[in-house]
Amino acid sequence: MQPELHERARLLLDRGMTESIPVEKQRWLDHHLSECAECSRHAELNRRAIQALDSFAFDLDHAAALRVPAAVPRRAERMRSSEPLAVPLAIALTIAGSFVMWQAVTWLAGQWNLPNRAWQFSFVVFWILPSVLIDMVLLFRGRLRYDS
Amino acid sequence: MVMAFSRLAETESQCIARALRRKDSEFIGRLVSQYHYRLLRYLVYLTSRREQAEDLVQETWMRVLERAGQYNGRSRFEPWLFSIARNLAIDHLRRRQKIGLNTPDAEALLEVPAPDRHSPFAAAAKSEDAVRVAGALAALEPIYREALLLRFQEELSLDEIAQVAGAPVSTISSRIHRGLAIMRSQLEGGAGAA
Repeated sequence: MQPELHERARLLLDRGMTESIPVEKQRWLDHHLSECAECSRHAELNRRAIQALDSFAFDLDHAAALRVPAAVPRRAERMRSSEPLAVPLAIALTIAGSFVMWQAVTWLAGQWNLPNRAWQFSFVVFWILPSVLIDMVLLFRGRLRYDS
Repeated sequence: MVMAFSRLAETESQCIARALRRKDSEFIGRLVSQYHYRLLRYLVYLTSRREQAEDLVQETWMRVLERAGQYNGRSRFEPWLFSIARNLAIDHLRRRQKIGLNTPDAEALLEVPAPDRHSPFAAAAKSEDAVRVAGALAALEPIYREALLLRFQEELSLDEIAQVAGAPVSTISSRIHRGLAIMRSQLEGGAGAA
C-alpha cells in the first residue's frame, strides 16, 4: 500500500477527533482501516487515549465540596441585599450633593455680585457637560463600530 | 430534534443568566454543586496542583457573581465559566511567579509544565491506560491538557474552546492533535514495555 494512503488515513483519523468528516471520506477511511492493521492501531490508540482521560477520577475534598456551595449562595444573598440599597443611596447622595452645591454657589454668587442668569447657567453646564461629552463619545464609538 | 435540543439548551443558559443577575441564592447553590467537580477538574488540568485548584474554585464562583451581568445566556454557560476560571488561574500564576501585570504574553505562563512531585493525575488514574498516560499528562504543558479536557471530557466545540482559551480555532486544533500524539506514544511505549 502507498505510504500517502496511510498518511491520509491518519490525517482523517486525527481530523475526526475534532470535527466531522464528510461521509465519502469516512467511507474511504473505514474501508482503509478494515485492510490496514497499522492505521487501525492508530485509531485504537486514539480511542484508548480518550478512554484513559475519561477514567481519571479526582477524589473530592468533602469539606470543600460542602463549603463552596454554602459560601457562594451566602455571598450572592449579601450582594442581593446590598443591591437595592445601592441605587436609592446613590440617588439620595446625588440630590443631597446637588442641593449643598447649589447653596454654596448661591452664597458665592451673592458674595461676588454675579448676575443670577450667568451663575445659574454655569451651574447647570457644570453638572451636565461631562455626561453630555461622555454620551457623545460613546455614541460616536458605537456608530463607528456599527459602520465597520 | 436538534432544534428542540438547542431550544432546551438556550433556555437552560438563559435560566442561569437570569438567576445570576438576580443573585438567586438557591439556584446558585445548585449550580455550584452541579459544576463543582467539573470546575475543580478543569483547574487541576490547568494548574496541576490540587490545593491551588481547590482555592481557585471558590474564587471563580465569587468572580462569577461579580460579573453576573456580563453573561447574557445567549451562549452556553460552560465556556464562560471556564474562561473566568482560566483568567484567575493565570492571575494566580502571575502572582506566584511575581511577574508584573504588563507581561507581554500571559499565555506563556500556561506553557510551562509544573514541576509537581505529587502529580494529581497519578492519584486520579483509575485504569491501566490512565496510569500509563498520567505521567505524560503531568509533564504536558497546561495549554495542551486544557485543550484535551475541554474537547473530550467537557465536549466543547472548537469554537467554544477557542473562546475559553482566547486562541484561534486552528491553534486549538493543533493543541488537541499534539496532546493526543503524546498520549498515543505513551500508550504505545507502555504497551510495548508490557
